[in-house]
Amino acid sequence: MAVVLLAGCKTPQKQVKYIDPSSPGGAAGTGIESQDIGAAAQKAAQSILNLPQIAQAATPPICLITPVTNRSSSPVDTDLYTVKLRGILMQYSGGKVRFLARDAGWGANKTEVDLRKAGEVQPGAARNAATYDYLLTAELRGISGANASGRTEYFLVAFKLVDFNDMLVWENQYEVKKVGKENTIYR
Amino acid sequence: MKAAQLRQCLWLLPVILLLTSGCATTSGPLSASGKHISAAAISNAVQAVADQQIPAPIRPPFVAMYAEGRENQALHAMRAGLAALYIGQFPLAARTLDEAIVDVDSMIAGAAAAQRATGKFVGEQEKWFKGESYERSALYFFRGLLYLGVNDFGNAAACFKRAQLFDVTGDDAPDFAGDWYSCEWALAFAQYKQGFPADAQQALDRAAKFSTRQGVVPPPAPNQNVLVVVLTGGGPIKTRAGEYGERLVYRDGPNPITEIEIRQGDRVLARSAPAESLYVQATTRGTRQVDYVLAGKANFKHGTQTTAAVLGMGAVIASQQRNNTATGILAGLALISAVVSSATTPAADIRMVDNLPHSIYLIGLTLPPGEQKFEVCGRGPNPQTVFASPVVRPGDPLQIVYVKM
Repeated sequence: MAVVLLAGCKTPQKQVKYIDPSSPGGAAGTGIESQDIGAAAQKAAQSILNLPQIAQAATPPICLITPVTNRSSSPVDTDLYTVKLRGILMQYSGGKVRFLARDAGWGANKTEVDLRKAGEVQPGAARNAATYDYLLTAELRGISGANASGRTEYFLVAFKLVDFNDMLVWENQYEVKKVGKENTIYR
Repeated sequence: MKAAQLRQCLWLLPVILLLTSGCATTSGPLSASGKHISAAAISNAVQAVADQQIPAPIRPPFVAMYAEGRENQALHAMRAGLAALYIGQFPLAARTLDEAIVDVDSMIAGAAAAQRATGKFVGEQEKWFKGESYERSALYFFRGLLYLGVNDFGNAAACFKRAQLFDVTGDDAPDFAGDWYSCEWALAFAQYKQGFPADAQQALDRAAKFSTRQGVVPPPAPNQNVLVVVLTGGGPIKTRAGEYGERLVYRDGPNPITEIEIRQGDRVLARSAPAESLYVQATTRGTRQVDYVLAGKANFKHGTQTTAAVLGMGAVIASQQRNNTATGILAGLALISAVVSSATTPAADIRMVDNLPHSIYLIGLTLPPGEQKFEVCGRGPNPQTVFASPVVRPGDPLQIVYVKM
């Protein structure tokens, strides 16, 4: 009877819980994580928006964000990070910069042009695909070290804003360093 | 000895039993770490694997991954990922190896179990499996190959670098840390594909200094568009040695092939020694910190066992002298020592990724577009020939052909 009563009081354990995406993950390693890229992208966005070329431009310049290049020793989902970077920049830009989304629109729009030409859909307005004024690149580099005790990893997220004439307009770097110690049983 | 004296010595029975017997055995299926697996856990795992439409030939490691508890998840994920790779299920292999990577890379995953496993009365195999150095490096190496296969050269390079990072050694084997020839070779290949020839050359220069090289392996070239990965034999086999099985030792796995030749008709396209021997990597690890922990446990077990025996002898002598008080005290202490000795678990953890190859061959080829038929000839004690016919797509930077012998 007591067992039944006690069992009835037991709270079921939650299998899934929501956590802040900017907080460190539960499986903390020394590799680069989403919150590291998010923090770097946030700082980069604020810095870019303060550039005279952006802040004082008569019309909002158009920017193409190239996929994040990974040259570190930590595998990352580069597509995810590229999307995250663009999302943060969009959030902070307040209309001062416009972004090309060729990854999202190029293929579908080209197909639609073909369909229009073939008369399979309405003619619509003529396509006038935009080009960019600035190219924003992001590169992840790193130096990693390990011994029997644990690992030390240093990451550098380097952003570059380059104009259409290959001139470097702005560059900024963000650093992350992580140190982790293995339990004796794994050494 | 009289009947009364025999009765007095009856207490010896549990001591002897405890000193001579191991742990009680449990009937039914056991996990890799020796724990009972419930029928419900197996049934749920079988259903989960069926729901995911895992191909039938490779279901066992996936079932084990879901049924055998958190401490064995990475072990079975590594096995399952490799099994998927061997049958060409590359996206499944990548997803599954990534699951293992989460545990292996994490420094907090299984921390509580790891701490418990350092204790004298908890077996090492109760820690969450993360593999020995060679298994962790192999995990990243194969994940890197899968990235190469989808032309994600940045992440492939990252994995090959990380494989070297995980090849840590003890203080007595510093020259063997980060010395995977195959990883530097593959890193150079990935860096050529990314357009970083200087970095590629640096990787090859590092590789040239490794003492673990197995022979002449032609280096990769920037214009190669087909990578033949030949995996031969069986990986190192973990066994226990020492009075209580406290020492982890390796036996060499089967090694049927010692050289690969790629032939197209009468033409030899390439010839290569192994780029890696996993047995060599496993056995150049040096002394692990955990070896000292296990040696300490073994010493403790030996000490308590000896104490129990000495106290037992003392109790026998006391009983012969009809000193009942001394007999009782000594017998009680002997029993406690025997219980403590029996509960001490110094046995080394010998869970292993049992489907790793013995040797890895990496051979780059430059082939024109279209179907390319060639023979992969394995030379050695048990020669084998496998026919391959990849279709090289124009402009495709890389195609990987896997051959298992």
